[in-house]
Amino acid sequence: MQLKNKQIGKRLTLATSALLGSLQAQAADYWEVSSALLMYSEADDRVQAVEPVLNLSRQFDDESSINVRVIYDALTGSSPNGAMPASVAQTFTSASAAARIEQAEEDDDEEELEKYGDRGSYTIAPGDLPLDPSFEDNRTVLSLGWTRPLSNGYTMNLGGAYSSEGDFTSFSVNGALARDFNNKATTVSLGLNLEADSINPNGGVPTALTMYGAGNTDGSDDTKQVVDLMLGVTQVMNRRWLMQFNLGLSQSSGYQNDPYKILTVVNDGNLIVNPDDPESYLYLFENRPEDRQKMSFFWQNKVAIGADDVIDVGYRYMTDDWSVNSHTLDLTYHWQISEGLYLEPHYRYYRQSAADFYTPFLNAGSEVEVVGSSVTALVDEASSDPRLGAFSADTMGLKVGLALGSSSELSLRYEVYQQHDDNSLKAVAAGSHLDGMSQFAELSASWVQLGYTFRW
Amino acid sequence: MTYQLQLTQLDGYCRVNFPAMACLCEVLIDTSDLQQALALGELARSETQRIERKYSRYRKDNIVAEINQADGRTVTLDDETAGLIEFAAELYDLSEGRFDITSGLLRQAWTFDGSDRLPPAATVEALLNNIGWSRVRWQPPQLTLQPGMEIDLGGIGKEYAVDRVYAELEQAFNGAFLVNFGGDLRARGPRADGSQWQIGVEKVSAGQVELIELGTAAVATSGDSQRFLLRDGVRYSHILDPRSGWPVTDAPRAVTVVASSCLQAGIFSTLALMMGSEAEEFLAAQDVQFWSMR
Repeated sequence: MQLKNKQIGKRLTLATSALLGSLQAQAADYWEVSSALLMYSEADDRVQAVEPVLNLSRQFDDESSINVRVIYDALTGSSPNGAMPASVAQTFTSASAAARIEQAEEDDDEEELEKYGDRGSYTIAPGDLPLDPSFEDNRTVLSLGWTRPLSNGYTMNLGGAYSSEGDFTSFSVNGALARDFNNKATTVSLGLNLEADSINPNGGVPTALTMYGAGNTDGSDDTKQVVDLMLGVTQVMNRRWLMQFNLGLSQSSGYQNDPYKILTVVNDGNLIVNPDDPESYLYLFENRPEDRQKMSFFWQNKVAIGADDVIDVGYRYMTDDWSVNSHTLDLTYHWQISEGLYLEPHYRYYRQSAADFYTPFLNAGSEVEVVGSSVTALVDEASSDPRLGAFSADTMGLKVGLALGSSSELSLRYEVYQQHDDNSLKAVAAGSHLDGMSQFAELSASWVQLGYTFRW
Repeated sequence: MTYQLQLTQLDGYCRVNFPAMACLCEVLIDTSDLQQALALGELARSETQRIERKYSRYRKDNIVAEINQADGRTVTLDDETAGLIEFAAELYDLSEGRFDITSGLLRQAWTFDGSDRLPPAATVEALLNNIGWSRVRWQPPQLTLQPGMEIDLGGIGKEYAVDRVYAELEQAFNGAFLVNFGGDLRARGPRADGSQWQIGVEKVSAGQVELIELGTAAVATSGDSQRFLLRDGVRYSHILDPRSGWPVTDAPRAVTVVASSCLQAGIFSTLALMMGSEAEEFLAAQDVQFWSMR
């Protein structure tokens, strides 16, 4: 575009603010409010979620700022229970629904009974993926952050977060110290996050690797602690290119299991009748190590192109001592079509290897000893959670943003996600119940986010 | 002008004048407290003089001289100077090469005295070898100029001083005030009595003055007033295009722009002149309030 028709105002304003610095950046006497509504939906009527987000931030005279974020999630739908699809019908008794029914009966709560009465047990047709239909949860997250500059080019950041859902509570505190070097061209930061979680599954904490339906529990709740350490370097390469490196270390210890996930036990590929209950088959509750150490490396580039376009390229590598290694490549292009309209195409590629204890099912004999009504796991850990399996995934999306006046913006984002199974097939005897059954349920999901940002 | 600072009490406000930056610097302060007005005026003057000392191209002891005499060596800049150079670099990019702090050398060829004496093309051509921001190596905060090149911050210096003084006064005083350095000005309003600062803008033809009310905003004017050359009926303004080394033709005589800072207003008005016959079209696309006098 020729200069005579080109709007240079926005870049000129940015350049002027950078030059005149904080003295010109008058303390804003308003709250910057970002609100968004996310609607997430998995294919095949699996999990559906509605998530309103509210973010408030404000800057003060002394260049300090605070940020308050509230998220509410309402999740409903069906979630895989971890068992394999089989060529025969399978009936499951949902521990979480059973506990809810029991509670409702005690409270004489007819509404709850109506809702869950027929979900205490559920039957899965031959060939179908076993999904627990009683998946329902509400999550509330509240987080607070406070940033203030200290002397000598240091900036301090303190924050905390609280998250609560029916069977899970999480509390965390974090702190970070950043320092500018080289005329603010380089920023080095060091951050620490401490998190304490409490898990109280419906129906108690199932004893790991014991029979599903037997009701063995290890108390009603358990805990987990996470420590994260992060070192970051942000470098202004030139006035159009910003680069960032982050190195993260994470140590998590305590209860790592998904209390609702089970594993199918088979004998030469055939389901085994539960020795305690001839109406159902044999499944074991999963078990994961009590500790997990992760290391991650993140490299991001933001490059300004033309007048107002920005290309954002990020790569992340994560490795942990469960043998899960992942690569993420993320590409976003901010295309400023006019002063008040932009488009943001987005693509993400993700690939991970499986945890060393990931398995789609357990074999009697080599992995589980079944003698009469005595069932003993011969492995220390096992999980069929697809999140611990090997897969790759593509995410593609598009965001449209529309400026409404000088201080508010409306945006709409649509993204689709598709997983691809990368696991090697576990051997199954020909003609058995599991022969020809999918060992990994590829997830397809899409979401729409409507956002509105304004000053208040 | 031998005086240092002049304080005048006017109708409900005070005026402080001092000479600096080759023009008359004026600060209007919405107070009847003379002591306070004097203190603020001295604050304004000391900041102005600091900037003038640091960035004047007529001095031999400042950072501009150090850069221009580096003879190919790399100079590491302080934060403030690096900020100004970075700003200039962005302007070069934004204006597609029209705004160039290395173009000051062209003054050696051009003298705008109203005559018809154009310089020989070869003289201009020779100077262009040492002009062009793209020949400069700028890796903040390190600046390296080729030997023979020079920088001159005169194109943004006065506007920068107005904005800096505005920022100083804003910190020190709660009321309304106006900083006016030879027509480039920035105001904070409204005054305590509810009125706005009134400023005069020359309208379409010279001599016709329109009074405008200015709230919290800045105004800058660029023009060729008496500085031009006239030959064969073509009026050469004193605005030189660093890409050709020649003056812009068909530019308005003066352009006045209102913006949120004096720097922005100054850049808009200067760039408009450089657009020549397309000045008004350019300003209209910027969505700013402006007056153009042809």
